[in-house]
Amino acid sequence: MVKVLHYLNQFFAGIGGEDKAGQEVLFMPRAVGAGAMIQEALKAHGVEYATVVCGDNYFHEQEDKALQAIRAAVDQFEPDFFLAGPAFNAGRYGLACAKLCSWVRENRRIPVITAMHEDNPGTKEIGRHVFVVQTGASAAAMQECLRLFSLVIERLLAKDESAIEDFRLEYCLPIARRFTARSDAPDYVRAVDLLLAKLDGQSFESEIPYIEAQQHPIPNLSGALKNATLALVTEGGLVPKGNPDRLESSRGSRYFKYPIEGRADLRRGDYEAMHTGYDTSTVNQDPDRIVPLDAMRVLEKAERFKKLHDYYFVTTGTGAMPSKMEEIGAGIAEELATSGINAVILTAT
Amino acid sequence: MELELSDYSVETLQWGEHTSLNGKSLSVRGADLDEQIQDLTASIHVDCEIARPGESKRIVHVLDTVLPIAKLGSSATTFPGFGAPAVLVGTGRTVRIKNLLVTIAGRFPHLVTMTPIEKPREGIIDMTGAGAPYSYGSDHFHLVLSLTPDSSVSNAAFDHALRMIGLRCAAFLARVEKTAIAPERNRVALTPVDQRLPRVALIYQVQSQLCFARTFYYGEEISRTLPTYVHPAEFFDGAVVSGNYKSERKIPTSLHCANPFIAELLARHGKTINFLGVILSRGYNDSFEQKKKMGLWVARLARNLGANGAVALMEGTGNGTVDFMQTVKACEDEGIKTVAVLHESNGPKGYERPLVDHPKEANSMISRGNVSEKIYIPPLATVIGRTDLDLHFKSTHDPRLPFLFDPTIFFGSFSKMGSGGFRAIYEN
Amino acid sequence: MVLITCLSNVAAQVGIGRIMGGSKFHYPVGQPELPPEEELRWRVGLLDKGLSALETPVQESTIF
Repeated sequence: MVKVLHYLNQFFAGIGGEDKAGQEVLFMPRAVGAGAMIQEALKAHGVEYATVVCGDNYFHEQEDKALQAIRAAVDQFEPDFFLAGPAFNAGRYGLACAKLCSWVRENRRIPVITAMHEDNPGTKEIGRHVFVVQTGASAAAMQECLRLFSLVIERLLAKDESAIEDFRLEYCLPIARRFTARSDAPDYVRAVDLLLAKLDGQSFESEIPYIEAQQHPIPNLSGALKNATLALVTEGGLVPKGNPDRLESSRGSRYFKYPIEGRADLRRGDYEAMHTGYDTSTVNQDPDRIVPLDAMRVLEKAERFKKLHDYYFVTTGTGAMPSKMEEIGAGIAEELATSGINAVILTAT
Repeated sequence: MELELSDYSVETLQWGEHTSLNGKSLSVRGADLDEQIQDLTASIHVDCEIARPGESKRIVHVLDTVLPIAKLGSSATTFPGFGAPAVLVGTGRTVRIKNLLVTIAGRFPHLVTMTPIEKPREGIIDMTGAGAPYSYGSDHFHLVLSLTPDSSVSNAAFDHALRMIGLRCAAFLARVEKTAIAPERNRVALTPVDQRLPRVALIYQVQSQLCFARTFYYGEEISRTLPTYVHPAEFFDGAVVSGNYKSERKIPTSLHCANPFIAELLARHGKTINFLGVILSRGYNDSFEQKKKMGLWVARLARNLGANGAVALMEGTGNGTVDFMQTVKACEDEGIKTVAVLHESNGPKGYERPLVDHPKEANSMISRGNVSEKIYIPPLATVIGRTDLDLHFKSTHDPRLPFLFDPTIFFGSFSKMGSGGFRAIYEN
Repeated sequence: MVLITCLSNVAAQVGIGRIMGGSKFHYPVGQPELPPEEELRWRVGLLDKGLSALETPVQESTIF
């Protein structure tokens, strides 16, 4: 007996199109839509098939609630295999498939299989050991994709490691990501071996490749600075004393803004820095050492620029993933742009 | 300079009527340990427990591990600078119990008064299961001392006490009466070798910033020293002691005393390399200019030693990477070929840029694996230490329950991942 | 934007346009050894240089 749980969005479950995208999580103890074909292909094994459905909008607008309900379905049904999609190039659907497969794999360690197009933003949320079958951009390839879902399940059931690896190479999306694996020797042995090769003039390869950061366009000020409104932003974790919004002291996941209107400087005792990456005692003595409000007021008065924005923005960067910081940066930038800010002074530790 | 090691190892460890090593069986009498540390424990409650390799045990809130080492037949002591006026070490005879650790666990008495950077980070040792390959010391026997200080003890006093408790118990255990067993004898020396062999130095960068995140050399904080030459034999005698509670990246005191990089370079001395010794330097300097200078001085020292190659390792992460990379760059600029060993932080999904700082000169690196990958950590039968793990200030967790976390929850995980042969690779 | 950080090399690696070296990473725009008035004067000078950086068009990572 094999238990398969299949995640579908409202469209592929046959509930409806965009008008039904608000569909709440629905558990159905049977194969629905595309699932019927997989169930049929696996019938020799005796299949118990169930489907869990969620609307694309509901998943994104109520992600915590949706995840909770779907996890409950997984915990209750206890599948041997978890399938999601195929999502093709549908972004919201792809993200949901990727997040669910990653969660199920990490927490239940059963095989998880999804499918999507290489441009689907869901590819950024794929966890380790998730099978991601490569598809075209449209649902035209549905039949072929379902055949591949059945094929990989067959190979997994047969525990045929080389056939599984062949499947990965032939049909899965190559998403270049780095994970921990075992090498043939400890670091101290490889280090000396690599050094000897380097000293000997032999060819050698670094185990950590040099990776260029993604470059972004650099904006220049469009008008004169004396007509510009400026904002202060910091990565240094400076918050009002007592940390009212519970900013994390490492791996910040959010940003906050705090008012500075009418203040000439940031007074000792009114603020504290939440940050495990530097010795915050000097900044706590004078918060202007991380958010230089006093100096900016002097320069504002001297009319070097027109006005300082009434809020400063803050997050904590230490230990955080660059992609999370990009997300936070984009959020701050968007807020500043819509507030008519022309330029930013950002302090980082 | 030459040090003779008398090495013992244990196969069984248990409580007993007397503290003694009989064959490979070590018995420990609790009262003997109490006696060693009674002047330190007036306001600190101590619970002693044993953990053995393979047992279903999880040791939580680990602060340090110390290797039992002691000097034989001389007035010198191991761990110079602690407990007695410092004398030079690295010569004479030293006795060790190679696979035993005195493990100090506990919580600081006043965590709320610590600034974020001072706060110790949770470090656990899983003796078996999925966590064992990430836990430094999972292949050793542990005599665990779990410390519970009264509120009358200050954080600084606790820091001092926990270090002295570990060092004294370790020295005591190394000196126990031994019967029916002869030690394995080893020699640590840099004897003259064929001058045509490549001349290799080990660059050893430690974390030393402030109280609770520092490292000692002969009892002095390394933040107050310039890069210096250390003979490998000095490490074996405990010249370098850890006072750093950033658990995952920490090089525990026992690993300073028995570092596999030093052992490997000694083993190859005279065969494929001419090992010159160790350059001890400090990371986490306060500004880019200081970081750069630290690198320049390390490179100058390596050049003056006549090195044409170096292996570089670091304790730390984050901005300590910049000091490290400036060191690698300075060495390469001086013509000293350098291989740098480092962990990667590729993110839970594996696609983040792996390093904080990566200059082009660091073109021959050894990876210790992705430290930000989530792993499923199953429960173990017994938890040693107080309950509730601190999941790095975000939340707490009952250590008897399974959880999903990255390797940074394990004590000494960055070193352990490396010595266990982990590395990061591209995977589809 | 101008970024004031003491780790300007790291900032350049990720492609930040305008970078200025700060003081120490514990206090990028502080000089705690100075008396308060002198520290403020120093900070005003640093920020004034930052404003000049904002006025300067750049095409690639530039350390001011």
